[in-house]
Amino acid sequence: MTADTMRHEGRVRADRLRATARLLLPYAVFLAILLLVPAVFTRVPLYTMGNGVYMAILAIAALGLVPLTGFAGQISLGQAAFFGTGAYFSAILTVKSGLPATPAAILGMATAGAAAYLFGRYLFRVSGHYLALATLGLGLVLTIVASQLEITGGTAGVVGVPSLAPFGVELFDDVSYYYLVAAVLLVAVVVVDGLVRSWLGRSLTAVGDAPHAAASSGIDIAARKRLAFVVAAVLAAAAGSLYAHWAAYVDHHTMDLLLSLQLLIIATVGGIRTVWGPVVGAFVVVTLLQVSQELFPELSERVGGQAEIVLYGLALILVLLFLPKGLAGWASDVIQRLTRARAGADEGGAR
Amino acid sequence: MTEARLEIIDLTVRFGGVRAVDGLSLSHSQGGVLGLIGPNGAGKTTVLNVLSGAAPPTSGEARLNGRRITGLRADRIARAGVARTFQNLQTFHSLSVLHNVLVPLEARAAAKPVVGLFAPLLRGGQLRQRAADLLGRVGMADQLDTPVASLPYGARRRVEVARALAADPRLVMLDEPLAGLSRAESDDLARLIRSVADSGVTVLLVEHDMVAVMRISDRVAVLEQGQLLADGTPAEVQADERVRSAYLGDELDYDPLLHKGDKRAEAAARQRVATDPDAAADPGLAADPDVAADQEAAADRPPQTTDRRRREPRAQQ
Repeated sequence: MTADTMRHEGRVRADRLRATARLLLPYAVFLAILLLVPAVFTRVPLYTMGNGVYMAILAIAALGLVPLTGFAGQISLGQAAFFGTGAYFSAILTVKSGLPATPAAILGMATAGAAAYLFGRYLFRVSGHYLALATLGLGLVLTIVASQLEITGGTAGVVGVPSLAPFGVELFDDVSYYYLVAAVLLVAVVVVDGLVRSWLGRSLTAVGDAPHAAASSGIDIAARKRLAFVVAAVLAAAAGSLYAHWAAYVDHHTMDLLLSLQLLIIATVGGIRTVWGPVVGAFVVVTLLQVSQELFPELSERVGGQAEIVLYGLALILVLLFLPKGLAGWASDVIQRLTRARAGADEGGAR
Repeated sequence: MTEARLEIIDLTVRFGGVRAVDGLSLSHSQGGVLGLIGPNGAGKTTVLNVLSGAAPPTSGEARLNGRRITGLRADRIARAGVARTFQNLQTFHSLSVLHNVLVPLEARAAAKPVVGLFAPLLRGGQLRQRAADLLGRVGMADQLDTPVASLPYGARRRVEVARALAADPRLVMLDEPLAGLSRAESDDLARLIRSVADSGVTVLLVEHDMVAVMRISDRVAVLEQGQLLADGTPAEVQADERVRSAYLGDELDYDPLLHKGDKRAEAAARQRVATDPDAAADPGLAADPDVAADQEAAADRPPQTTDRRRREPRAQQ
């Protein structure tokens, strides 16, 4: 082996190492932040540990919008319906049927996924914005149905959802529950990131970018959109189940249209084409919620306790105007530019 | 590879009251490049849309190697061996050059049942290599990782052609691939199209650059108002009086068929007509001895135009 080929192989190996590091580094940072949240949120004034739990739950629910909306370009206004499906399944099956929490949650996720699949079979035959309108309708109808049926407890909802006890450790406070939700979030991020980085993610991008070209490249575009819709529904249902056990009660407000909008805002503000988007977005949205409640309690009262909606709207407009890729999208662009500039400087120095 | 056998049988496409394609019948099984020309609104792109499954026909059908493709979903038609590019350039703008070409390769690899989902993962390296080879063929080998959105127009066209070839088609349909390209880019792409056809893939070429169409095509079909006005070798079609008058009007004093829609060539032709009486007879093609010979031969024969409106009864009732 000549010195040249050895040097070349060394460079290839170094490149591969660098690529792996680039892939894993965000995860290391994310894991560190997840582990730091309890220490910080229990000490700083604005946040409570409940905020941490709520952020993680919202992030899980919004995560499915990355492949669905960010990649395949399909807007769903019915994520709250799937969130509610998971929440009600967990609540009803554990409270009324006495089922353990895990099978109850899995049944909820499976039902949401199956519903999304069947819904998608009819919806994705036609192109356009049918999904947004149809899911809007689905959410509104299910909210009303849930408030009327006996099995869902009518307007009173289902109360007394038991707290979780994985591996015999009962999670009765927000800090311990946070660790469970954060672990689920981490797994969900890894799964969705793997999906969008794989060839399936590429084909979803193709469908979103140029549907006609994707179809004549041999992609069954309806099947791809359906896949993304099912993934989004299952994740929303998982988040719903976690919510039910945390809040200990579920009613029809759990699947309010506002939640669907909130999830879209979370994904968009954070960055809808990266898995870090929903995480960042959930942090921003819950922060705004806290700010509106802590800093403007009077304003909050005057507009019916929903001053945060004004702040959401402002945040959305600002991000869309100045950072159309969302906060995480913008951050990754900046990091990329910096590393490229440094690599350029390195090369320049070597010459 | 045996040549693709394309049959279009009494195809009609109506948009409201407009017949974009009106009882078109056309068969092609001799491979090479089939040029499809005609004035704006003649129905060329509509024919491509029907053949690729992007638009449904009102009546009639199309077959590829005996198999009916009209009525199939676009991705099924693609798998049957039909690929295309688009008039208004449809690349996957969020993807890199390499990934644009990888998409159809992965879709093909995934088409097998059960194991299909994993095939693109297991054969990743092989598919990447194939995509890189195809991009090398269109001269994009050194820009594999470039985001396609940051490429100039001409380069994106080439990526689109490579993507069409990646589906391993029997029939490639190119919708105005040369539009908007510089002279050099256009010549390069024309050469590539010719080499694709010579490798055994049938090319259906819709193009307004008449010089290029006449130079590349083995056969040219002329559409007018959704009907077949004429078809034959480039020389036959050029010599056809009806084509000249219907397609272009006959008031121009230089060979208009060759330069319609190409401002630069039109100007050049006028220049040549003014300065060189020989060039007036055959501007643009005089440099190519084969074509010139063809043209002379064709001038001796009567034009062999097929006017299917009159000659052929409708295949279906």
